Amino acid sequence: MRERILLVEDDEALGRQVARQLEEAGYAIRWLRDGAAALREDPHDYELAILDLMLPGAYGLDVLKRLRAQGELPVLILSARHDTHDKVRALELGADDFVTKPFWPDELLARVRTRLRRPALQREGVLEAGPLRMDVAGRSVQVAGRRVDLTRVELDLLAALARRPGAAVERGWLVDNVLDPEREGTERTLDVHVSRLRKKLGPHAALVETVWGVGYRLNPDVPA
Amino acid sequence: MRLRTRLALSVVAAALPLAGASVWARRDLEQRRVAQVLREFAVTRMESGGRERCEADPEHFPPRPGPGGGPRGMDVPPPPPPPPELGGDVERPRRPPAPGPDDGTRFWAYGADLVSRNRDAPPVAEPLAAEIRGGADVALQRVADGEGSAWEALVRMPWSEGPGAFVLVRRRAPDADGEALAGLLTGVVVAGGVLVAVLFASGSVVRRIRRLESDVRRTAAVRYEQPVEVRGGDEVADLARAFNDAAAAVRAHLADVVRREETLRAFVANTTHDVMTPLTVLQGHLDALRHAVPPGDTDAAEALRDALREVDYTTSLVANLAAAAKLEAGPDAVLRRPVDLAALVERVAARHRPVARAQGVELNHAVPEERVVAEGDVTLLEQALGNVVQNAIRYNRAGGHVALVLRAPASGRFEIRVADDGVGVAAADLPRLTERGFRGTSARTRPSTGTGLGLDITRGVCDLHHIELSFEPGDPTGLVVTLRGERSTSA
Repeated sequence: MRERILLVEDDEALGRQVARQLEEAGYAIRWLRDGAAALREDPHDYELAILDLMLPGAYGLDVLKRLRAQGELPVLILSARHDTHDKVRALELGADDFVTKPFWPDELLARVRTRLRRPALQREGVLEAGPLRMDVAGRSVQVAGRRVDLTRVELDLLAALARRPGAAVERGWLVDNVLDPEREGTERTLDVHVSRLRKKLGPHAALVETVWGVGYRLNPDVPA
Repeated sequence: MRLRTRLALSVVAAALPLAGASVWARRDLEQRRVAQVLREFAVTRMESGGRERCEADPEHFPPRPGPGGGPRGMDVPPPPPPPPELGGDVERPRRPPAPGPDDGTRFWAYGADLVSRNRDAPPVAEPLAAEIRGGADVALQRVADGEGSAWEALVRMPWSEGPGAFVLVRRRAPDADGEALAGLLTGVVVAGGVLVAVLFASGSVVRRIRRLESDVRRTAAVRYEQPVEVRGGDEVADLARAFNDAAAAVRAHLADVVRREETLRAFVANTTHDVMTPLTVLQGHLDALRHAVPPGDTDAAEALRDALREVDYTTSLVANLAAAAKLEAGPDAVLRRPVDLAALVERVAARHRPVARAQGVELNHAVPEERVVAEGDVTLLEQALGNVVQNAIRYNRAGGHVALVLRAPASGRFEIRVADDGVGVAAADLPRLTERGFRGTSARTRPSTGTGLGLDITRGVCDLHHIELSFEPGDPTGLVVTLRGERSTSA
C-alpha cells in the first residue's frame, strides 16, 4: 500500500513540483493550499505531513499544533526563513524535522524516507535487512535463508551495521564498541574482522560496504 | 598645554616686562638724583672760591692729592653750608650726604671749549660733551673705575667763560649689578605673588572643567543616553548645556542609523526569504531535466551540471548573506538552544548529496547511535557546516569522495570531521585558512579559491559558538576540516 503524505504548501509552483516528485517516488499525496483547510484534516489518514510554515489562512505553527494534538503523525517542516526562532518553535511544538528552502528534490525525498523508514528491529531481537536475517538474542544469522556461522566479534559487527541499514558506521566507533575490549583493538584489527566476515557471507559479501573516509555500511539493497 | 600651566606662563610673560620696566624706572630716578647732587657739589665748590683759584692757576687746578697718602689731599675748602631754603642740617636726612673730599669724589675744570688746561684732567667723554652742547646743565654717565664703577657728571657753571666754565665730577658709585638685582628681585616677588593668586583663583574653574569632562566621558560611555549635570550659570555651565545639545543631536542621529540598519536587515531577510521558494522550484526543474537528458548527450549533461553548480552557488550565497546579516546583528540576534547534531549532520548531508552526485562526487556521512547535543543557533551551525561540505565537493573531481563524520568522544566534546580527496590546499596556505579577515573582496566577487564568504561565515559562526576550527592536509590528497566543541548536558 502506498504511504499517504499530507502536503500543505501555498506556493502553486512549488506545491505542484513537490507533489509530482513525491508521487513519482511512490507516495500518495494530498496537497492543500491553505492552512484553514489543513486544520479540517484528520491526521490519522496520513503517515506523514509536510508543512510550509508560511501559510495564508492559518499560521503554519497553528496547523502543527492541531496535528500534534490529535495524534502521532510525523511532521516535516518546510522553512524558507533563516530565522532560528521559527525552527526552534516548530521543534518545540513537536515537529520531527525541518527542511530549509531551497531544497533539492532528492534532498526532500531522502528526508521523507528517513521519517517513514520502518525500524530495522521488527520483532524482539530480530534484525532484517535485505537478504540478511539476524536473531541477535539467539546469536544466529541467516543470509538468503542459509545459516552462516560467525564469531562473537563478527556477529556484533554485523549487528551494529544492521541496526541502521544503509547508514555508514564510523570505524573508530566500531573499534570502541565492537572489538573485544580485553585485547588491543586497532582499525587494522577491525579491517581483518570485516575481511573474514565478508568471506563467510560468500556471494553476499557486498552486504558489507566500505565507505570512503568513514567506515562500513550494511547495504540492504544488494540482490538476494 | 594644561589650563593652569597656560595661566602661569601668561602671568610670567606679563610680569617679566613689568619688572623690567620698574627696574629701568628706578635706575632713571636714581640717575636724576645723582646728577642733581653732583651738580650741586660742583657749583658749590666753584662758587666758594674754586672759580677764582682755577682762573689764577688753571694748569694746576684742582691741586693733586699730596703724596703723603692722605685720603684726599685736594686743596679744596670744606663743603659749604646747606642751601638756606632747605632748612638746617638736621632737616636733611633724606638727602644723600654731600660729597666731601674723603668720599672719593674728584673734579676737574674745563674751558668753554670743554678742554682743560690741567694736563691731568681726563678728556671729556663725547656723549657727555654732546649732551652739554645740546644745552643741558648737567650730563651724567657711568664709567668703569678700577674694580668698581663711578658716576661722571659734566656740569655747566652759571658763567660761560674762563678755564672753569665746565666742571667734570667723578664719584664712586654703589655696585650697579646689586642695584639691578634688587630691582629684579622686587619684580620677581611681585610676579610670584600674582602667580599664586592666579593659580588659587583658577583652581575652582579647573576643578569644574575637570568634573564636566568626567561627566561627558560617562555620558559618552552610555551612548549619550544621560545628559551631563549643568551647575551654576557661568561659561562652564554654558559649555555643559552646549554639550547636552550636541549629545541630543548625536542621539537622534544614532537612532536614525539604527532604524536604517534595521530596515536594511529586514529587507535582506525578506528578500532572502522571497527568493528561497523560486530557487527551490528552479532546482526542482533542473533536477527533472537532469533525469530527462538522453544518455550519451554529453553536451546537455555538461550544461546541466554547470547549471546545477551555478544554482547551488547562488543559493549558498543567499543563505550566507542571511547568515552574515545575522552575525552582523550581534550576539543578541542569535538564538541558542540545544541542537541535535546528528540530525544536523543528516540534514547537511541530504542537502549537499544531490549536488555531489551530479558532479560524480560521493558524499558519505556517519553519526553515532547515541544522541549528541550542543548548545547553539541551529541555522547558523547548519550553514557553517554546509559551507565546509560545499567547498569539499566543489574543489573535488568526478570520482572523488567527501566524508562527513560526527563523533562523540568520551571527553564530553563533539567532533565533526569533513574530509575530502580533492585538490586540497597548498601547505603554505593552510594557516591562512584560519586567519581572520582572510577574505579580501570575496564577499562581492566570486572566489576562485576554496575560501570566500562561505568560509568567513563558518569562521564567524565557530567563533560565536566557541567551536575550534582546524584545517589539515588530507592523506594522500585533499583537505580535512574539523570542528570541535563542547557537548551540551541538556536533553
